[in-house]
Amino acid sequence: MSWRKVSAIAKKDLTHYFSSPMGYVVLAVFFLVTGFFFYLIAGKARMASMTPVFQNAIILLLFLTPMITMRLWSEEEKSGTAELLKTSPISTWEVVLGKYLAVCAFGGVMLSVTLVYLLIMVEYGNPDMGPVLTCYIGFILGVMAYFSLGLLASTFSENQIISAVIAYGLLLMLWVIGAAGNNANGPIAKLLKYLSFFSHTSDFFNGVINSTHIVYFVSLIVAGLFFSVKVLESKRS
Amino acid sequence: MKKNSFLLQLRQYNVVWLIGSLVLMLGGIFLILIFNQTWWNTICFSLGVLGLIIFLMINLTQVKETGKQRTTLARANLTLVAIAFLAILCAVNYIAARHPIRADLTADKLYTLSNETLRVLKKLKGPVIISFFGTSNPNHNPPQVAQAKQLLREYQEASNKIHLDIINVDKNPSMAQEYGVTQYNTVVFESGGHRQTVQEANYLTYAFDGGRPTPQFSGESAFTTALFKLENTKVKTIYFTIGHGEEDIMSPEPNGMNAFRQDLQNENYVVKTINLLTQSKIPQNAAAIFIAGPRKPFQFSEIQLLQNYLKQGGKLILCLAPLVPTADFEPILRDFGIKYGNNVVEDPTRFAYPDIRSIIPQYEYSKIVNKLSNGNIFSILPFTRSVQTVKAAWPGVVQTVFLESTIHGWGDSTPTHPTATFRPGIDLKGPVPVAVSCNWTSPKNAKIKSRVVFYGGSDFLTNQLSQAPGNLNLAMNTVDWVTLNQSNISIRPKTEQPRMMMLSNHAENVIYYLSVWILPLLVLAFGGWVWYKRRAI
Repeated sequence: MSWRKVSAIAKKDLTHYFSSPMGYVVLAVFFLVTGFFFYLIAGKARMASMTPVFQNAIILLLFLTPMITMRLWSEEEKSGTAELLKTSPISTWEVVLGKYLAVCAFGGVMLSVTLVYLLIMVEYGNPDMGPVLTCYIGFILGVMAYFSLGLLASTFSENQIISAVIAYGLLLMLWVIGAAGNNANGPIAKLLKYLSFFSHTSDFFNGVINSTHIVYFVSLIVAGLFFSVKVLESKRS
Repeated sequence: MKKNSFLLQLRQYNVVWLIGSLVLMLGGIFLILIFNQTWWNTICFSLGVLGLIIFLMINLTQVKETGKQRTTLARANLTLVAIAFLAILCAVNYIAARHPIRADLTADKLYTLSNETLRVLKKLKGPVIISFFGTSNPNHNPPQVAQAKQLLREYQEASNKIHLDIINVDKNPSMAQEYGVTQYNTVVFESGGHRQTVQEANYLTYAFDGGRPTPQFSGESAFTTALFKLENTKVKTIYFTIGHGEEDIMSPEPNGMNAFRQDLQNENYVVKTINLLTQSKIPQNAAAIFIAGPRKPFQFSEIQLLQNYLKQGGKLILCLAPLVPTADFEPILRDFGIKYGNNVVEDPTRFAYPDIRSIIPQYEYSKIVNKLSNGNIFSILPFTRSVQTVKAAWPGVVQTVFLESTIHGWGDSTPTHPTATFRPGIDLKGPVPVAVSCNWTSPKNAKIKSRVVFYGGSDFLTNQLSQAPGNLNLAMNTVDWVTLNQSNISIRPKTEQPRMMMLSNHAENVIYYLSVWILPLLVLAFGGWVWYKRRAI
């Protein structure tokens, strides 16, 4: 695997995000909504805690992720550039990793706004920095898992709307599956609750790092990338 | 011929395949969402499976041909790789879930088990099943219930001998019935045929700070105590004296002590009654003798029996109500240096409305009341007399006053007097002690240690006052202390220190405009500029 090729694809896709209005609209919506929550938490409730900001931000990203990831592969298919990529001497893994890095970099730009909030909190309050750190770790892992599944959804169809709907369905299912677990008993309940996104984010937001949750999110990321590669390979063949 | 054309039609439209898959999917969804083996999801599954079998049968030739194609083999290969990959992921997650590594980064270590709990968990001899009987009804799910579940999960993670089951009572009423659970959010600890039950009221307590009750989560103390008791099932027998008009431990009437007896039994104590007149000596298995509010005097022989018992390291709890003569107990009181006052304690600053004789005593430092004191849990002692300490006849007696009125209270020597005010020179000035614990170690043999607790009343033990926040706990702690039962583990409830922003109105406005307006608009403006430039190109 050549990292030069991976970074070239990542650069191309990242540039695309910032050369289309869509990227800015998504960023503005994210900044506006998280900003409003930050104002309610820090300004109105006077709480020096980043936890509620991240709890709301990760739910917000559930709705924004399909919009960010839907074009990753679907657009290549639609514009015909997918054929070029398929026949070029770039492996499928390099293509997938490049696109994934691009979307993660875009996520990093989104996350940067929370640093402004943190600076304000440190200036005017005394937040517990342990939970702040775990919130960042949990949020980054959760968003990376979102993007990985969004990328997978994008490989299913050349229609961006269909890709977005599939991504939305996948992510929503992972959020609500825990509720189904509440209605079940025994090992099925445990399995459903384990699969639930929510059960793996709450510890991070409370200030606890647990290796189980890290393994869960890394598994989702790896699974999303692996199946994206396999779907594209099956299309190539 | 007709039959063949029908099959052809089915093949052409793949109707059966479609219906089969749909119905199978529906059955699966219902099973996941409801997870009750009801007739309709069984029918859905059966119809679905039947549909798929029919589809395969009528398309058998086509299926066989498809199986031989190159693309099919490639897809099968892909499917196998995918299954293998998923299996590896499942295995990794299973191992990670079984052996978690946790780090609590909160400043107050809110999610870390105390050393006492870890010690108890380490000493567990066998598997312990913890069943949490909850509900999905939001009215019965205060935040402390979620805390309790989280805490129990931490117990499970800390010890591989703990198995936690979260049971929805509404879905599993039979299981609740089997465990004798009648209230939501009850936790049952079970090991080796023994059970310990912790109800919501045991871990969701209320602190009366500044007069306003605030909920307080003391789950760790309650759960660890239950685990400890589960492991230490040695039975102790408490004998309640009878024959002198004592409070009836079997009676469910307001002045009976049925509730206290049940609590004692729940805590693995065996409760028996004893008529000292008929005994030549106190039974060997007596962990303690409990004298709860006698109205008639004890005989000399009974007092002698008790005195000898105490000399040999016996344990006694003596509750003598006001207006009852104490002369018969004089030998024991003299031995331990106790003087019961002929009065009724009143306290106009701490009492249960409307009677100032129902005092809410202050807790002094003692193992009996420390837990109540830490938890800000009040006890109500109605109609109680003063219990003062004087020089003990037995050398080596250590007396500790653990309950007393405030400095504004007094011991009213003529309680029938119409005005309830302190009369200097007549009444006993506050703070008035109302309960004293005594330790005695024999100077001749250090192994002989007796413990006696003297209360100035017995009404606090009755059913009508068992609902008072701390009364039964006070009684239970007294029995535990006297019988050297160290199972009530005191773990201070953890509370998160509130971290607040110190903002002026100006700073609040800056935050508002910066986070809600300036940052999003900046992004939009930059995006618009990029779009305009690109359009110009």
